[in-house]
Amino acid sequence: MEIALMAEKIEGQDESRDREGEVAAAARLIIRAKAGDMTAFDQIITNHQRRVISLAWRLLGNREDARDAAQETFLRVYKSFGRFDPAQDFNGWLYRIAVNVCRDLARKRRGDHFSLEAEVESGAIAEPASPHNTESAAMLAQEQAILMRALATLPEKERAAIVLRDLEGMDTEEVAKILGSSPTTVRSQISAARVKIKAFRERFLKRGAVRIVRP
Amino acid sequence: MQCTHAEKLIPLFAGDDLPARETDALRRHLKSCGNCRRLAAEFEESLDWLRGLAAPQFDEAMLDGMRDSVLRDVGRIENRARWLQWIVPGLNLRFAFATSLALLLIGALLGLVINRRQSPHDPKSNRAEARKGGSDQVKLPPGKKLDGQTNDDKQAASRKTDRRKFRREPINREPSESPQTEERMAEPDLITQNMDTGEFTSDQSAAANPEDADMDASRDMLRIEIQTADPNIRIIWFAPKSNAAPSK
Repeated sequence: MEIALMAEKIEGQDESRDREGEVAAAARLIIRAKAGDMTAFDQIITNHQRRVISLAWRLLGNREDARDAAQETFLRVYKSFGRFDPAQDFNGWLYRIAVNVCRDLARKRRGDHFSLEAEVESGAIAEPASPHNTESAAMLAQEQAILMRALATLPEKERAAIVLRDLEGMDTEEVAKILGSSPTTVRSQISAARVKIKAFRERFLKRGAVRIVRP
Repeated sequence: MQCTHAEKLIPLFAGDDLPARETDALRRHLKSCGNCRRLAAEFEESLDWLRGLAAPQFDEAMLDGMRDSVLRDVGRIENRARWLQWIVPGLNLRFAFATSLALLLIGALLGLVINRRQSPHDPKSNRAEARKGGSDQVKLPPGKKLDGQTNDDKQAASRKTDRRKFRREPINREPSESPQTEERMAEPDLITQNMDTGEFTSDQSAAANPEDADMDASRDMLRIEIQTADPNIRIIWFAPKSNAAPSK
């Protein structure tokens, strides 16, 4: 029993040591990139591009816009490295830039409605869980399209808050820092967004437009 | 806890966003209220549905293309910055601002100096302009009228306006000077300056002009005539001669 407890303790220590090592490696990478090391900057892009592009897609609802936003985000990161304090949380800083870029892009393309149908047709939204079952894949794609539409109905700030909190899994304080608001404001935005999403989903369920199929 | 208050807290409760104290209070209420319990279950279901929104799979080619594009843009920025550094070593925003301000000031000063040199009050430039104006006159065929006047009339008028006449001011001489000089002083010549050429000519006939007959009557007075730009206006000024013998 004691041995098992000791083993658990050692494992925990190893894990925390690994995490510390990762944080230190990330900090070194950032310092090198800040000093103008292009290899380090390239590595930073590689480490974060998937998360940034996914966030941009959730905020903008369009694959091409998400790509443009991610590109612009990394460019702004490079330009703003001089103002970045390595003691600061890099992920939070990166997300803050990404959200601002998406906001700018959305404002620029306010007139354009993002075409969910086009996204479904291009296969961007469909993510088949079981490739053998085409019917379930089609239903899942439809569900995703409706989810995206539900997000698109939300005001800009509420959408950003709910995407960061419920889809990116950040806590309220982190979201507040990224959005430059207070945690109370963010909680209020999240609450309002959840009420609207629920209402949207119920409306579609009543119409029978959505049959939720879980793989 | 009232149901109305609980309904406000349920959306946050579904996502574990409530502080511990409020969470406990709401849990106690949910145990006793079926409607609120059902509402909480619906919110949790809705949240699960939302969390099912997975981001699409972005293929490696797209990600590589994006990364290459970023690095290309960064390289371009770096090159531009290096070029600027080569022109101005240690370039920074403050330096750039100070330099542009200094250049602006120098430009403004130069403009002021040039403007002063070409000022219309400058007699030299006036004469030059007058000369230029005389030479740049439009040559019309003889007999053709410009504003109701013939070409010849125009030229004559312009010559007349540019001409100024004045008397030479007598100079105080010592009494030992020759009588010829005194006589010359008693009858001053009419000096004419032609503004076209800038030459001074002594006009003897002008002195004998009947217009100047009153000069004889007042020999002890100095007469100064100035022809204005308007040919009809001539300023005649009589002043007592400074060398005239005082009446004792």
